[in-house]
Amino acid sequence: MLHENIKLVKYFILGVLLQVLVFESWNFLGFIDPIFYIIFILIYKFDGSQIQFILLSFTLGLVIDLLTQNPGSNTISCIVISYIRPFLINFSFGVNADISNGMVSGTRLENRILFVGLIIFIHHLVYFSVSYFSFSAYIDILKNTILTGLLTSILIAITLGFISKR
Amino acid sequence: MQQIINALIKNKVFILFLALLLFSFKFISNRSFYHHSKFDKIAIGLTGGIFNIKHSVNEYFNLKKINNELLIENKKLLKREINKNENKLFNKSNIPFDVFQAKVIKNSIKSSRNYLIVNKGTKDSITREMGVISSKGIIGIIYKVSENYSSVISILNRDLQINAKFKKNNAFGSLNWNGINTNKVKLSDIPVINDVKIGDSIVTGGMSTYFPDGILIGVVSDYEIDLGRGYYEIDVELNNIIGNEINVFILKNKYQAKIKSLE
Repeated sequence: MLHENIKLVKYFILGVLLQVLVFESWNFLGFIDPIFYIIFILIYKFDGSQIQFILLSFTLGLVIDLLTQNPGSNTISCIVISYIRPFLINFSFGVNADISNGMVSGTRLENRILFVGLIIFIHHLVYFSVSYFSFSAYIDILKNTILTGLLTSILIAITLGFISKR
Repeated sequence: MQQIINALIKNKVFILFLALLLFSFKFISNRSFYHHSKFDKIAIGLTGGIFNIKHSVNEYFNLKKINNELLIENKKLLKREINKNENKLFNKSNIPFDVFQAKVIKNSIKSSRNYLIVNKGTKDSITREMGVISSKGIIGIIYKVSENYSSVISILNRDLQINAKFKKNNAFGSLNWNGINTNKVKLSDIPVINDVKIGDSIVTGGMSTYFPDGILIGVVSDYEIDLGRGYYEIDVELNNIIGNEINVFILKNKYQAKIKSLE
């Protein structure tokens, strides 16, 4: 249990540090900054307390917003994604939704890909919708969601592959 | 009671989610001017919609009073029209103000910074910083505009200063509300060399781009001399009762942008 919690804290801090120090100013192709801290939301245990998870995600978003001078889009997108995560787990993993460490082992690859894809797409959509906060900017919102989402997915896939192998 | 508590416990995750979401929106609104003004626009739209319903009910019951007001106003306009025909110097193309008619759907006089909401917005070509008057006096200046509604900084708002002058000798100063009495405002910066009497009319100064020259604001009800500064402190009793205004006119100065660019 303690070991599990230390691991979570490790991913929390790693996510924040990498996001703030590396990915926030990456500007891939001039405008794409991947959202790497989402790794914490992905690998948090599936059967953990939902309240604790929402509070942790809220803190994660708030810390990122404060450190990157973002007005608050990360906080809002983290809260929304943490609230709907149980539904996405049930949708993606079906009968295997109760495997605690399902993101790392014990589940099928296609289920994991579906889960990662959904979490990243919804998170990015909320993030960019809040950032632009205008119906007329829907093309920019979709463009950023898809391009940033793709880059985030690649990074997350590499990191998850690395974690699973270990 | 037990059932309420049970329901709360059952939905604790959703309640926590909503609370954090509300906090985040407050957070984003405080940190970003863009989001703040977007939220303001939505809020004006919503309150506008709600008060519009309330207003239409009130309006029905006030029809008699409004009719009387319109009659008086018509009479005044007719008089002006006749005078205008007599005065050949009055050239229509020289009038710099367009007039839009609007209705007050929310009016507050309780705070020290009061606002009104009127039922005209960007759709009716209302923009920020237009003057608002009623048939009896001035009301305020347009502050924020949404598609269908606009908020107006009331003359009963401590942040608003309006250029005003004496009708009899054109001595001008600035008009400001002290936040106490809703039918009195303060006129300051009138030098003591001018003669002031109780009952003198105070009109708009025409030095700002919001209001034309000479719209009646009120009459002097009391004054004292600030000897240290050499200026009068004048109490002006408003001609109109801001809390009772329903029909207002929004004034658009056609040359506002040009004048502003010179300032």
